[in-house]
Amino acid sequence: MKALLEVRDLRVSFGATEVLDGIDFDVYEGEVLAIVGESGSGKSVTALSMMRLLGESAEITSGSLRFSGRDLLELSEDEMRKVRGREIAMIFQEPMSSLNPVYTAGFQVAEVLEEHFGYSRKAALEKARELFEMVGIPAPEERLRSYPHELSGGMRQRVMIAMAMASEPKLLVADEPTTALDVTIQAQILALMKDVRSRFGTSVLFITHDMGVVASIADRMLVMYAGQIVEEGSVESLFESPRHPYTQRLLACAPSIGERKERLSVIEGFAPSPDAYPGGCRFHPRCSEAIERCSAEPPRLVRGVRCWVAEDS
Amino acid sequence: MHHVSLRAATLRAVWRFAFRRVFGIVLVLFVAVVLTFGALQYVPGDPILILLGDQSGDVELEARLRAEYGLDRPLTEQFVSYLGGVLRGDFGLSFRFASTPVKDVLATGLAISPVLALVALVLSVPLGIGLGTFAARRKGTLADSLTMFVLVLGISIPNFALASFLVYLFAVRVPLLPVAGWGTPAQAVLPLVLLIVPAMVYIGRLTRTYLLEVLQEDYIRTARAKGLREHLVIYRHALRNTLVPLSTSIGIIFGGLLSGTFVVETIFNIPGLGSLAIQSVFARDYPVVMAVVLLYTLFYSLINLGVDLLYGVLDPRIRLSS
Repeated sequence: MKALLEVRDLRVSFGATEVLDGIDFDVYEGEVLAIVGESGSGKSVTALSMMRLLGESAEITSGSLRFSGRDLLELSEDEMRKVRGREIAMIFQEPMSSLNPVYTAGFQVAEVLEEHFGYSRKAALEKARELFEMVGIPAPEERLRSYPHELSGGMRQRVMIAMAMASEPKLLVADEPTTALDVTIQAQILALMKDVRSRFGTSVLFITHDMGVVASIADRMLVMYAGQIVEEGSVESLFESPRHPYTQRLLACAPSIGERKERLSVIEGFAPSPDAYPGGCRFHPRCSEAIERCSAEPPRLVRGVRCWVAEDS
Repeated sequence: MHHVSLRAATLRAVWRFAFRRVFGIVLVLFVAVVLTFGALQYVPGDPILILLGDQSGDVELEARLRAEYGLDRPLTEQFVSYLGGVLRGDFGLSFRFASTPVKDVLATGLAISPVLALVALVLSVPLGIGLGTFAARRKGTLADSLTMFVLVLGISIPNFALASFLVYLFAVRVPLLPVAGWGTPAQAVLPLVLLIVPAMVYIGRLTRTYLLEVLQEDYIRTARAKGLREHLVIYRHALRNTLVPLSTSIGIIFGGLLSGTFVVETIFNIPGLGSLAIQSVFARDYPVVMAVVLLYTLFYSLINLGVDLLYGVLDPRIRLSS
């Protein structure tokens, strides 16, 4: 398989605090790659880094983002702008606040086509109507003229997906797109994303903390902990035989149907804050299998896992 | 079907809103008439005696004037006739200019003060928004600090001090502009500058604050993720949303400009409503004072109404709910 995006040694800092500690991964053409982790693990920062949309307080300090033959970090701001929304599109967690309240849904989708492809307003709105139909918005003609506050959360996320797919991007970055939605709506949005992905062959970088979502949509997954990738592999192999103790705990935490437990499984303790990462393996204070070496020496990512214990077995 | 009934409901809501607001304005004006009329009964001095001056011994003339001004009738009758007059736009007769209707006394000023305030508003809004946007886009830089310094300076210097300074600079030192008076465009420059500076400064500071707030919103991140050019992100997506809170402040500023003309007209000897009101107070020309108070009450009510209507235009979320 060909890599569409190659991320190498990506480091991001907020001031003096490093929140991404040299991330390496590839996104292959047409695949859905999930990044999984707790809040604060660095998964959203990773997603925003792909768009170079981190904001003023954060800075990409080193690394490269090779995307169809060029390094996104080398592009000028204007060149990067032409990549955004055209070659790489993004959808966000908060469908409530991600749309501008004073413009109609149709206009906000049409804007992408006007900006990147020089559509006239009329042609762009016509295309927007087709996109609304594609993402399963009922009465698309009328919904074009609806303002965000007139739409439900699920409808707004469909509008966001229509907006993202308007330019048929090569990569779709989805930052917890279903987290804020009701469970039934979540399932619909996931089904829509699968449909869109197979229709356009778009690669998807899917950020989530929900193992159920990973199982239903992703081909491969990365598990992040404290600004590092701790395990990577195909969804099947990781669900079947997770090697890193953290991945094992994460999977044990996800309750599944048909399995009645007296107590829900939890991971003891809290994810460490970026300005106080523990020495050695960053997970060792919470790890039940930690050996002496874990607190002394930081493990490296070897054959898909960053763990002294797993590596030795 | 659903759409049509929604439209009809909206229309009904709009009518209800308009009716309520117009009724409210009428009520406010009625209260203002009661208050000004009531206050007039308690102010010291008999206007007719003042009007008579050295002819104060002339009993026959005094009686004739009292009849002409309606002051010989019972208070309730005077009030009813005054109220009736106000409804027809007739504010009675001036005390200072004997036998002249108040509305003729007001005519000159009415053509000056509201126009002056409106022109100042129309100029200060884009200037203020421009300055605020300039500063917000350069947040934390020297350009931002300098702009903010100038804006703070503009707010801190009192109007009359700035007036003396400007008159000294542009009328005395470098005689480009006339010192005072009214009638030529050159005579309007300094008064307008004096009205515009504080309004522009106020709008500028608010714009910067609101814009920095809006720029943190998720939909701004969405606009950037779409690959929109920066000026579209700023003007189309961010600034457009600051107009909603700004419109309230702009209404207040318009009110401030209308009363701000009082000071400016006095400084530059402009025959506007402001100088007229002040002269009328000193001359105990109460019918004129009352008329000016009522006019300003009407202006403020209309500004409030205007701002509320503007809200509906600017924010689709308010359109239906009001």
